[in-house]
Amino acid sequence: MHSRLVRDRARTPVLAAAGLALLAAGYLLGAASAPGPAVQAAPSGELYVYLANVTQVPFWIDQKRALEAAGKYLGVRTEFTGPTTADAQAEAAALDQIIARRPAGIMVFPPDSKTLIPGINRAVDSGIPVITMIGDVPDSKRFTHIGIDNYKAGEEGARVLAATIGGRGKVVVGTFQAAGVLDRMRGYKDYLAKHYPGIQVVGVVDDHADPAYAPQAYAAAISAHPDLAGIGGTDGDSGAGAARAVIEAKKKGAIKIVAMDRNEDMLNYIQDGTITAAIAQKSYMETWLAVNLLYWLHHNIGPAQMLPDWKAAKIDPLPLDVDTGIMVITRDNVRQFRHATK
Amino acid sequence: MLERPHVTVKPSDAEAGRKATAGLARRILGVRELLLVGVIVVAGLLMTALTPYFLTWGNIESMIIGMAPTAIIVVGMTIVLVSGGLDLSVGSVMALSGTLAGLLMLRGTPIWLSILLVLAAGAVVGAINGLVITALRVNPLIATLGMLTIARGIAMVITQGFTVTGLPEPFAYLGQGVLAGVPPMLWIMAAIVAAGDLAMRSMRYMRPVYYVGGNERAALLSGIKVDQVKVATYVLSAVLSAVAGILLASRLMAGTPTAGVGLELTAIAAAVIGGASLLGGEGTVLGGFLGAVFMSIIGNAMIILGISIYWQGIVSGVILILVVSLDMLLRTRRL
Repeated sequence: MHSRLVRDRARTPVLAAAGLALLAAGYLLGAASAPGPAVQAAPSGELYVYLANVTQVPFWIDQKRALEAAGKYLGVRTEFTGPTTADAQAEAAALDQIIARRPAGIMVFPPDSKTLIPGINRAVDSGIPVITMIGDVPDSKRFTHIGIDNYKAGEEGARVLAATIGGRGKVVVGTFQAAGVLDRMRGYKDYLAKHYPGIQVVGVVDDHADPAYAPQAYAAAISAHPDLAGIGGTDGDSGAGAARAVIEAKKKGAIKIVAMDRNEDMLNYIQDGTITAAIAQKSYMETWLAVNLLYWLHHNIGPAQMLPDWKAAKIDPLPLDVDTGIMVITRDNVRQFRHATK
Repeated sequence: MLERPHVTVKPSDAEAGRKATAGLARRILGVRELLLVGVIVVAGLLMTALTPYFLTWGNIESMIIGMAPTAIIVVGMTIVLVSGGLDLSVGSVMALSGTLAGLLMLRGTPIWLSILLVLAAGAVVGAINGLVITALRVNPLIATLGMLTIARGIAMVITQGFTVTGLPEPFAYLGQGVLAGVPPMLWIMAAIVAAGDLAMRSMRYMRPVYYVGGNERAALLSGIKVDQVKVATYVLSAVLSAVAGILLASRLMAGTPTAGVGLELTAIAAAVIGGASLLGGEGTVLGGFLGAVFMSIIGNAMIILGISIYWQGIVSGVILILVVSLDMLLRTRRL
């Protein structure tokens, strides 16, 4: 009883000390941190929201940069949000919350082709145009889809990997279990099966999108296939992970790596040749285009002028689908792909 | 455990002999690590029979290197579990440490100073965990769950989501260099595991950790400073997570804010497989290390055997339950 009283009385100074410590830590961290993007101090209340999932991975860096730049260019507010996991239900819930805020337009990277149909339709019916990004929800009322089909991205990767290893040999495909990435993996496998009978996909590795785990996953695959000719990655962490594993297995050069996306940590490996090439999407352009298209719709300019009143005519003035293609990063152009950190 | 009431009757010689044998047998079977070593040997033999690629130096080395950060974290997790607590923030602290170290070094801070500062930051995080749990009396699961998201968030803020690259070359030595045949990281892991196990087993200083976990009220009444012990365990766990983060950053030559998501669950599973009880009062560092080895073998096996990625979760989950059930069965027999 006595000790509990003593402990309770001790709480207040401890609380105060903890609070001060947190403030101090926050200040120190602020001093040590990279300069972040300025909070959108926008002249207008107009808001464009990009909703995605698995939002903490570096893949979204270019989308965020483009959102910020487009916001400044057009004088509007932009936001990037969404669950940190590949959780379709969480993303559907987030979409409803966004609709409630009545933004001028929504861009959404869907978790799959079905879950967000009701949400997207609700948004469009309430007057908010929606554009799907890098993954389509074709059975909804979305205005357009911008991006590359993940399946096609996988096919591109397979094409480059096949060329790199000379058209024959054993390969392993690295992936992780999110719908879009699995589509890329399927594109990879199908392309190789169709066009390169001399190439055998001997394994599919799940690297959990975890840079701490990826190297040992690829190392195990390398152990299991001593005559492995190549590794094809379908997610951003596969490049550096496979590179680390190949170097530690002392097989640099013997095992060729073709990666995907443009994570910063893999660029050094492209520079020194461990990774032959990486397939990246034109994410910046995709996002820039999306914001501007939504802006034109909202302000009734550009394509919206196609008809006196496109809403009354029940016509979608935007393209049906915008295929943004991919870019190949190699040693020759890798310098351009480094983001300026700090 | 209540002591049997003393009966002042001298046992006969035969009786004394039987008691001694039973006591010895009890102590051998009581070495629960033996069970785990047995399971690991069986798993290893099974794998060697199934594929020639398991028992190669390349595969073994890559497994050990891969599991080193986890093993170091398991040492801290075991000690926290023994004290009756739980630390879910270890994966996030590992990521935060790696990124913080990278950023400091990029700013020109000397490598040794960056490491010291990051270890100090880890200690602060651990102290915050400990104080929130002891002084504010927040449930450890909630407190460290909060720190899990906060630490990860801080890592994302200071890096803006970027991986920190361009670390000074000499820093690679820890994770990529060669010291007596293997990267220095492995020797550091071995030293931490050995020190941790010896400390928990023989240092009288560490005994209170078991008492606090076994019966907190009794420990408090017998004069043990329970709160201090708890805070110390969380500080240790966080500092070890920081060590793991630094070594990982050295191996990857990158500070990655997304590293180690879910690592806390792996660490807890390894510690429990190794004998730690989620209720506290039981567990050894060596057991936790063996648990980490076992889980590493399972993960490695599934990839080498080419088990479909969609099935891997099911397989590892079933194996985890089987191993812990086996241990539970043996425990009830001993009682």
